[in-house]
Amino acid sequence: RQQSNQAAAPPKPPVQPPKKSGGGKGLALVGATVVGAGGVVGYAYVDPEFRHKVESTVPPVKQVFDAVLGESSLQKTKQQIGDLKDAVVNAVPKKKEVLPPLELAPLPPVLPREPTHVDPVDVRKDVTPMIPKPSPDVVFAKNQQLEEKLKIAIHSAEGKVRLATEAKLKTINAINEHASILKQTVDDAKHANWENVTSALQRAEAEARVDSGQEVDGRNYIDNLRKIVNDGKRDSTTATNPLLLNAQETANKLSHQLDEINALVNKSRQESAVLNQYKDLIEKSRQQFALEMKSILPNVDIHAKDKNLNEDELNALIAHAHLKVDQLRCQLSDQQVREELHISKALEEQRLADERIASEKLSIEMSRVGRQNELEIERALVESRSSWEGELENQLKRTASAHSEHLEQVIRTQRQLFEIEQNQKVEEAVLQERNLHSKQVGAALSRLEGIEEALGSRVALDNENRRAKQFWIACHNLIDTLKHGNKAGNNIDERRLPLNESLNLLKEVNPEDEFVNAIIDSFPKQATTVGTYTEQDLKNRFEQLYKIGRKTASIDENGGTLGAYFWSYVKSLFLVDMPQQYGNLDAIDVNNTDNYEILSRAKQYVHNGDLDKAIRVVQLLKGQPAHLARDWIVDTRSYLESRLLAQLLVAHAAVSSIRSTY
Amino acid sequence: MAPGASAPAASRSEDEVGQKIDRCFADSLLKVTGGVAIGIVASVAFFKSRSWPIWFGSGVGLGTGWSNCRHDFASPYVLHGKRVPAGQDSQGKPAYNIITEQHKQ
Repeated sequence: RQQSNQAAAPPKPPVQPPKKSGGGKGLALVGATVVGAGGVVGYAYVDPEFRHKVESTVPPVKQVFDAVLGESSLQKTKQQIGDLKDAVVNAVPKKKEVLPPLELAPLPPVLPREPTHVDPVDVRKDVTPMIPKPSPDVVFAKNQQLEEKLKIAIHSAEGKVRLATEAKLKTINAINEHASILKQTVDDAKHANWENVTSALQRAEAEARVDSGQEVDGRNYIDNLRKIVNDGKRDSTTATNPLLLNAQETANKLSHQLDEINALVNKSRQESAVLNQYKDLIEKSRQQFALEMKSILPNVDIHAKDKNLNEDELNALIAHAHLKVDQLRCQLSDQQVREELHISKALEEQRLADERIASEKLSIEMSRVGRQNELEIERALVESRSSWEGELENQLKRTASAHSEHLEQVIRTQRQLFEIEQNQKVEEAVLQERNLHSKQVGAALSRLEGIEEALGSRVALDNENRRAKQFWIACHNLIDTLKHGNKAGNNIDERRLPLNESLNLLKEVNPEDEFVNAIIDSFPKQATTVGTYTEQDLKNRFEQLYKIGRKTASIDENGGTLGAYFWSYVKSLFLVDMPQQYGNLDAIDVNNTDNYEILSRAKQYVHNGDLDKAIRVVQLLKGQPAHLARDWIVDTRSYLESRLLAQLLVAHAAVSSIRSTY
Repeated sequence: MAPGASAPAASRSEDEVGQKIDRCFADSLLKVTGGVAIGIVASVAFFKSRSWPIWFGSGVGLGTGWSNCRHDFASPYVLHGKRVPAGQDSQGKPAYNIITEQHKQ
């Protein structure tokens, strides 16, 4: 811009030259000023930037500009730009402010690798090392043992109790028998047989002794059973065995059975005791009667039966009997009164006894019920304990599982984090390693390639060398063929051998060699199809040509008369071709040489085997000999061409053989 | 002319003069023989067995041969050939192929 300013400023000086206009210097000055001002204003109109610059450097100009150019377009544009900017800022910045987080967001694509294989079993195993429970095998064995023991104990206890019960029943029977015998004996005093009673009593007592022994035994066994049950309960492993409760129940039942049977025994005992009392009473009354009798009739033996009593005695007895009857009546009535008392007393006694029995029973029942209750409680306890244990276990399991889940989650996240980190590290390392590796591999590969190339080239060289040698041999064969043609041929034409076959062979041997191909393609047509004349044949033909040429040396191109021919022949007879040595570098004057000299030169060259030079010289023949020589020239030329090409091939073969030697 | 290689007597240019001489002699011989034959017939038929017609015929033959030979030698670029019958053309006339004498290219 400044440059443009500076560029804008120069226009002023060129405007000033009008100063020179001589006369009206002031006019010129004013004009220049006006023009300058006009230029500035015009430029300012065109370039608002320039105007702004001018305004900022020379503030008063602003008013002039405003007056001349109207409101500064720059201001307008500035305002417009400002508005635009606001609009854009309003429209764009929001997006721009929103954008950065968007760029941040897709930072780590949380590689959703395998969803972290955490086997929860491991975790839970760590969490639940609870009370070391004995192995189920041991528990089972212990329970088995306990059950075995309990069974044996129950069995024996039951046996014992049954024995005791039987003994008790026997005792009761014995007591009852004793009581009945006693009653019979007492009632039937006349035929009283007290021995029976005594024996019954003895038997009953013996039975009672036996049964008490059995009972003790039974109770011991029951106690033993209980002890085993208690032991089982105390052991934690067997505490929940259901057989324990059953055994306890059985024990309770058995002891209850014993108690009941004891009660029965007591009851029968009491009954027999009542009978004993009855016996005692009867005995007492009898003794009293005897005493009374004694007191009345001290001399009379009342037991003497067959003794006749006197009247007095009888009277006394009757009196006494009357008295006695009265007394007994009185006594009876008295007794009746007392009997009531007695009855009431007996009732009372009975009631007491009943009460006692009842209380006994009650106590037994109570104890039984108590035990039952205990048992029930115990059972409930066991049940509740087991249920509680189950619940507790469930809860524990749940908490354990929740805990393990939590742990799992934590471990998973940690593992993920770790994995991400690890992955990054591994990737980095792998990348580095891979780079290194690829570098090394690249180096190795390139080296290998070089080696391979060298080997390949060596092998190729080998092949080429071998092929070149063979090719060389083939080319020599070709030259041989060229020189000697078909050696079996009998005449000049049969000795010609077309080169097609051998050339094709060469082509096949070296299909890619452009040089060889080009050479083979450039073999003259005659040589490939018909074959060239052999060298010796060509020499022979030259001999012929030489002779005829000498004979017709003087005939010109258009032939001549027979006379001319004859004259030429005669002339040739007289011209002797003196053996003459021509130098290789002799200059031949074309205008001054005659056919004879040319022919003799050519003859020398042919004789020396230099067909090239011979051709060159023969071509200088004139007249009829030239006419005659044209076939020979053509044939010889094609022979020479073929030979040259074959020699080229040989040279090429030699070169490639040398090139491919190492 | 390359395919004509199979032709047995491909003449070579150096043999041309020899061939011309051969042709001369053959032609002259034929002419002389013809002249002699005509002379004999004429002498027997018209001239009462005189001998001169015979000499005249042989002379004419010799002269014709000489002339042909001279022409042959004097024109080295004339080609010699044969007419070989080759079926008939559209108008029923016999057609000929002219085969020039084999010449080396």
